Amino acid sequence: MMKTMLLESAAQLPLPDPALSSLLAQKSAVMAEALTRRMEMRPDLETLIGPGNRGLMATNHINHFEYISTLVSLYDPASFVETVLWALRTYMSRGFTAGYWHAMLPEAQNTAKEHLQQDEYSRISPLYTWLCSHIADFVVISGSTASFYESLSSIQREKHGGAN
Amino acid sequence: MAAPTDRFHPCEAEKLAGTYLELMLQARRNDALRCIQKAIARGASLSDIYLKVLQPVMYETGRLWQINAIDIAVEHYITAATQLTMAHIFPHALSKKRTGKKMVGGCLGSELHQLGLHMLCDLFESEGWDTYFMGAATPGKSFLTVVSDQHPDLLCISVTMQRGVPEARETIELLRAKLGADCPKILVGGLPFILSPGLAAAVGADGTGTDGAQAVALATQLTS
Repeated sequence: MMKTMLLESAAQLPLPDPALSSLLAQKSAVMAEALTRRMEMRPDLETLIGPGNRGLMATNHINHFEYISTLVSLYDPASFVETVLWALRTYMSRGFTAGYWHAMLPEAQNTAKEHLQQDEYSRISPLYTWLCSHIADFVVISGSTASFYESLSSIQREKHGGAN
Repeated sequence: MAAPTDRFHPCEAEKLAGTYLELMLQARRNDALRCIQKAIARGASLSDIYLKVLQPVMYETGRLWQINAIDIAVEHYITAATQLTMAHIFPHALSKKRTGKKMVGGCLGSELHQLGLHMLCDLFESEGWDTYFMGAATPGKSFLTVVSDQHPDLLCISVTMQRGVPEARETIELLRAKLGADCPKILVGGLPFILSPGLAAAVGADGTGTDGAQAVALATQLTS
C-alpha cells in the first residue's frame, strides 16, 4: 500500500472526540508506564528493540500516548500518517525492529482499554484498530519512503561519519 | 561593494549550503561563518542566506539526526553555531527603511525549537519591521501579557511538535477573548502547519506561511 492510500484511509476515520483529550493527557504517563511494564515482560524484548534501547522504548511509549491525546484534540490525518512513518524510521534507525511495532501497538491498545472506561475507549478505538491493521503497510513503506518531515531537506547528504 | 562579476548569485546558494553543512559537520564553525560572510560581502541578501542556505542546512541536520547519522549533540552544535552565524550577519537585516510595524514572535508552551522563529524575526527586521523575539518555551498566558504591553500589529506563534497545535488553539482563543478588537493579526508556523496548512484556520489563526518569505508577504498584506 502506498503512502497516499494510507493518507486517504486515515482521512476516512471517524473523528475522535476532542473532549477526551484532557483525560488522555492526564493518564498518558500512567498508561506509558503500564505499556513499558507489559513490553518488559516479553522474553524476546531485546530481539525486538535491539540492545541498550530500553530507555528509548520507554520514551517512545510516553511520546505515543501524549501524541494520541494531541491527535484526539485536533485530528489531522496527514499528521497521523506522517508521524507514524517518521517514528518508525527514527526508531528503526536506532535498532528497533518491525517486530517491536507489531507487538507494541496491540499492547498499547490493550493498555488504553484497561485504563479507560468502556465508552471512553470506544471513542478512540478506531485509531488503534486502524493503526494495528496497517502497521505492516507502515513497515513496508518505511523501508523506502521518507516521511514528509525528512523530505523538507533539499540537501540529502549521504550519511556522515559512517554511523549505522 | 563587490564588482558585478563577483556578485553573489542566488543559484550559488545550494552549493554554499552544502559547503556550510560540511564545515559544520567537521566542527569548523569559524570557517562556516566566513563562507557566509563572504557571500554577504558579495551581495547575498539575508533572505538568500536564511531561506536558501541556513534553512536547508537545518532541515538536513534534523534528517541526519533522525536517521541516526549524527548524535543529538552534533545537531545542537550546528544549531548553536548557526545562531552565532545569524548574530554575525544580523546587522545586514537593518538596512531597509522602517515600516513602523511591530511583530511579536514566540515558541509556544514546551516548544524548544526556536531557530525557525528566530530566522523569521530577522527576516521581518530585514523588511523594516520591529520585532520582539520571545524565544523558546513561552507560556500561552505570557503571549497575552507581551501582546498587551507591546501592542504589535502581528503575532507569530511557532510550533514544531504536534502537541503544540492544540496549545496554539487555546492561546489564540485566549488572546481573542481577552483582547477583542485589539487583538493583532496572528500567524502560526512550524512543521505541523507546513504539512497541513488548513490547521492554521482550525486553530483560529489568520494564516500561515510555508517559509519566512511567504509569512512576511502575508503579514504585509494582512496589516496593510
